[in-house]
Amino acid sequence: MATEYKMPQLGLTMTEGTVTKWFKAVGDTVAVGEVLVEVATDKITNQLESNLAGVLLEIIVDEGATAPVQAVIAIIGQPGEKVATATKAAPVVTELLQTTAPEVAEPRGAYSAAVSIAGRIKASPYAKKLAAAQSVDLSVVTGTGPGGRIVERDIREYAMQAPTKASPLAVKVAAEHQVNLAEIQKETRIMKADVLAAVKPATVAKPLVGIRKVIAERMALSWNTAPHVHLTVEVDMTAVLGLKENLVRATGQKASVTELVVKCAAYALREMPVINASLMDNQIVMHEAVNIGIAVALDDGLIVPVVRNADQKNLSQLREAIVSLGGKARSGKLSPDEISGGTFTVTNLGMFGTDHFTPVINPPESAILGVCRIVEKPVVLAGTIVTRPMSNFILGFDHRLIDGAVGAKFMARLRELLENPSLLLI
Amino acid sequence: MREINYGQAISEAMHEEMVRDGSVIILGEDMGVMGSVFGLTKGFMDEFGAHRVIDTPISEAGFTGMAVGAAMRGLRPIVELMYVDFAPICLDPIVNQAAKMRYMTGGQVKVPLVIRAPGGAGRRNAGQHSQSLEALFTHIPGLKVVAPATPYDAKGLLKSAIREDDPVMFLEHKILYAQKGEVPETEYLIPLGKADVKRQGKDVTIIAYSRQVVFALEAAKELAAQGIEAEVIDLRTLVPLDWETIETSVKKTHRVVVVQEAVKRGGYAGEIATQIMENAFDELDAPVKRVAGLNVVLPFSPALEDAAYPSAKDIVAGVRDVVK
Amino acid sequence: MDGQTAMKFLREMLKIRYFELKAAELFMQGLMAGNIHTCAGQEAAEVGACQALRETDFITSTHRGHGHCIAKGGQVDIMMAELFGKATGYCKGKGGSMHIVDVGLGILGANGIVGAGIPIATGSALASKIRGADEVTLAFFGDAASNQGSFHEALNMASAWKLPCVFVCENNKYGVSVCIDRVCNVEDIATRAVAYNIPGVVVDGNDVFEVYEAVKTAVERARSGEGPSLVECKTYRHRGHYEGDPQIYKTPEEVGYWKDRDPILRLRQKMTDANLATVVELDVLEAEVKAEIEAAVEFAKQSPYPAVDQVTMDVYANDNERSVIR
Repeated sequence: MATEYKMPQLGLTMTEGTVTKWFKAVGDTVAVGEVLVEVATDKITNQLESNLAGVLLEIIVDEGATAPVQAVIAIIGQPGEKVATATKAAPVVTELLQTTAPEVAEPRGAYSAAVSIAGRIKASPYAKKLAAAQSVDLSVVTGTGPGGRIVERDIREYAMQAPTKASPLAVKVAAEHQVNLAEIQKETRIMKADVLAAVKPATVAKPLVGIRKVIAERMALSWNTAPHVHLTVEVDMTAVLGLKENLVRATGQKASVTELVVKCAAYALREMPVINASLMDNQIVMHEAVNIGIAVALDDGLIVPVVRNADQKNLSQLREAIVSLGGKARSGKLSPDEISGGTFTVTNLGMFGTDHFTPVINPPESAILGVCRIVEKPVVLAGTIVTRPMSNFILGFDHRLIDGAVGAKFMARLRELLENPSLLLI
Repeated sequence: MREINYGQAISEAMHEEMVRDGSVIILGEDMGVMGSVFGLTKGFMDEFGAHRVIDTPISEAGFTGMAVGAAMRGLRPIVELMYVDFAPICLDPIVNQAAKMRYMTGGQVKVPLVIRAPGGAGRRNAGQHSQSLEALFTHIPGLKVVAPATPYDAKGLLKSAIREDDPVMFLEHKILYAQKGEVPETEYLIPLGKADVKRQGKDVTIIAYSRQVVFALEAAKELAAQGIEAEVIDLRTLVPLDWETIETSVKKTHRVVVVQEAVKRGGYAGEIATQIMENAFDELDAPVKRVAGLNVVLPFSPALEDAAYPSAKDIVAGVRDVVK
Repeated sequence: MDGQTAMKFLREMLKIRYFELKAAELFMQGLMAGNIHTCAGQEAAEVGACQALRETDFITSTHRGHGHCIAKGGQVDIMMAELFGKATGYCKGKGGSMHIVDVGLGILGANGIVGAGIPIATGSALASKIRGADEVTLAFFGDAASNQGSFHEALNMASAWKLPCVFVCENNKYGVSVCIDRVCNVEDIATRAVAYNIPGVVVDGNDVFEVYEAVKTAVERARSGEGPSLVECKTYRHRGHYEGDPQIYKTPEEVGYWKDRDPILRLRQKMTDANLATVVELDVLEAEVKAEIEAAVEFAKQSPYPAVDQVTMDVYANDNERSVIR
């Protein structure tokens, strides 16, 4: 019975092929395993064997012509058999044993038959193991196994043809350090030193444990559940700095901007309780107390001790609390009570020279205040350019509870307080 | 050396162990007066008495359960299930009792029990008398599973199985009963869990057990004529599996065909193939191939039965697939 | 009935009762994993039967097996540790509530499969017979197990070969939720003995002495080589099939009827009526037993869990490690 001989699919990307040579003429006898036709694709040229025996009855696609995959390119049948059109309607699966011959002397790194669409090289596990041991680059090896798979014999043949230009010791060291010898560019023989020079520094992995694990979990939780909005205001710190100097002079003790910021923030929070709230178990919890967490950087992480009832403390009480908590934080002596129950957090990166950042909310709180460095900037005051100590304040807040306008109002009020601290006396 | 058949080898093993150890008893249908349907215990009842060679009623679940109790009390019962196809009738005593007793008692109890069960196709016995059910038992922790292919192995392994302190499923092949082979007259034992390389080869490893070893050796001869040197491993014991022998061979040939008579789906060949893939992946130059029975009920008609399970020709085809 | 014997019986029955009530309580507190099947209410059958055995005799038990094991001499502390899944338990924590075994005491094992112990007991009897030993093996099972093939196959062979065993059916009326009279068309399980040509007797399973006498007769018959007997003890399961069972299948009238026939209260009453003990003496006994159970709980609580590496141990007697891996 006459059988259709079709353009084979020689790889996932192949859509059409060009017949470059027929090895048989019409009327010739074709035996199983005999090379019948040469087909070229954009990547490769293949000589194809037939597993059909018979006579080549008709060539449908001539040399030089191109046909889509699965198009009938020839008919094979019995001598004298008439080509029935019915055979075309009943396709027979034509299995082709493919012997692949890459185009002469492929340049290093060129695609071979074993390279599939994604550039993955099809090679047996053992072939890969052998290739690694002998520093053979699989991309230059032609596969002769099923479907063009590179198998053991292909590696052995390649290795015999192209002996590695490396010392045996270099090969061994390369295998130990998983260095691909093909990637070492050297005119002369590759030595052990060349391999060691190519060893990439190892990446160090250590387990996620302790405080780092807690931080990782809490930050991920916050970021993944609370839609964060950040808004920034620029504050003229002249008044705050002036107040600080007056305090030092009046009390003879140290003072810092931090307690003034905390004081102003606590005052504003008392006025706008929605910022001092939490979303817990689908309930909006408005906290009675204003407990402000102060982020403290440690060598191996970050901890946030809490100043309780910050709104009810005066500046020296605030200072005392902040200094004490900071010391305990750095010496690892904070009690569980001192790191829980916060309703709002202040984080100051000013000492690191930061001008802007977007802090992550400390759950279950709903807002966090970021404080930046104070820097002398030119500003226009009453039509005149003057320099003023300016600082950026950023509010990061949970949009589920706090709308943009509410956050903006809070920051406006905070700026008003910081620029006019005497308002705190009202 | 003298030659005896597989059935005689099994008979000799039981006889020798009964003489050696008074705690060995035989329980099963037609084991006494008739001397078993395959003639393996002929004369045993007269020699050892009806209390040690017991003709049971057709009551597989009952007498297998009793054998578990007797084994817990220190006897070494050999139970014969006339066909392994009857094992599903008594899976509770095998799977839930014998196999689990030691573990569930925290190691207090031993169950030195051998269940002999002939299986396999080729005798035109149809679907309820022809199965290979080893995968039911290899799946159960607590059971050891033996499936010999030659008279020599059958005798040495059965003697070890009878002396074993764990329950052993001793799976025989009906077609092999008449198969002759060299068996020394002097006593010997073959340890459980040790495979035997029945033929050396460098190009491909054929792993088989029970009757398929015979086919694998036939196939190897045919393959040699085609220029392919196959190594044939007879597992002999399925649990515990002799991994070292498999690994050594895979490292030598890098290509493996695993053969079983049982239906392919969920069979033990799949387990072996997976162990090779998991533990020797980098040694493989081709995917491991299974040659196994069709996923069908074994048919009666010779024309159909012969098509339902592998023969040497199928093994040759399987090997040619992996040496491409 | 003498006072000493009665006290001994009562002590064993109380031990079972308080063990079960304590196990149920601890289970409800979440201190035990898995399932607990308690036998409260069936103590007379269990103690009466085991008291008729010698120490060297054997029993097989069921998923409701705590009582059998205690009655055959099982130590409550080691049992409790097993229920807790501790390394000090009878099975090193690998069996749990349903699998208490102590071969040294002749306890060939409780069993999670209904009816599976009956052929095992029969096989044990076969071993005794083959060896010419005069041990008797007693199989405990419930009414529901008598519908399993294993029951019939085992009775048939035990009878055919006159094996030294005794089959004790505790008919507590229910197989999980199904009342026996809905799934079995004989009034008494014991009549099934007729099919195997062995004696079948029905006793009041809540009267420890009646059980004792009937089983004693059966044991003597077995030991003398005359073969097995079937003894049916009519009794009642006070609690659910498992702890947490809502027991919607029981009526309050039925529960009340059987509470009135509580085997422990009956024995106490009998003893005081017959002046074998005073109420005070019996109260002291109860207090002692309760203390013993409390000590068992304490032992179990204090015991360590098995080391994780034990998970692969004891699957096989020989070549265990390789047989587990390969």
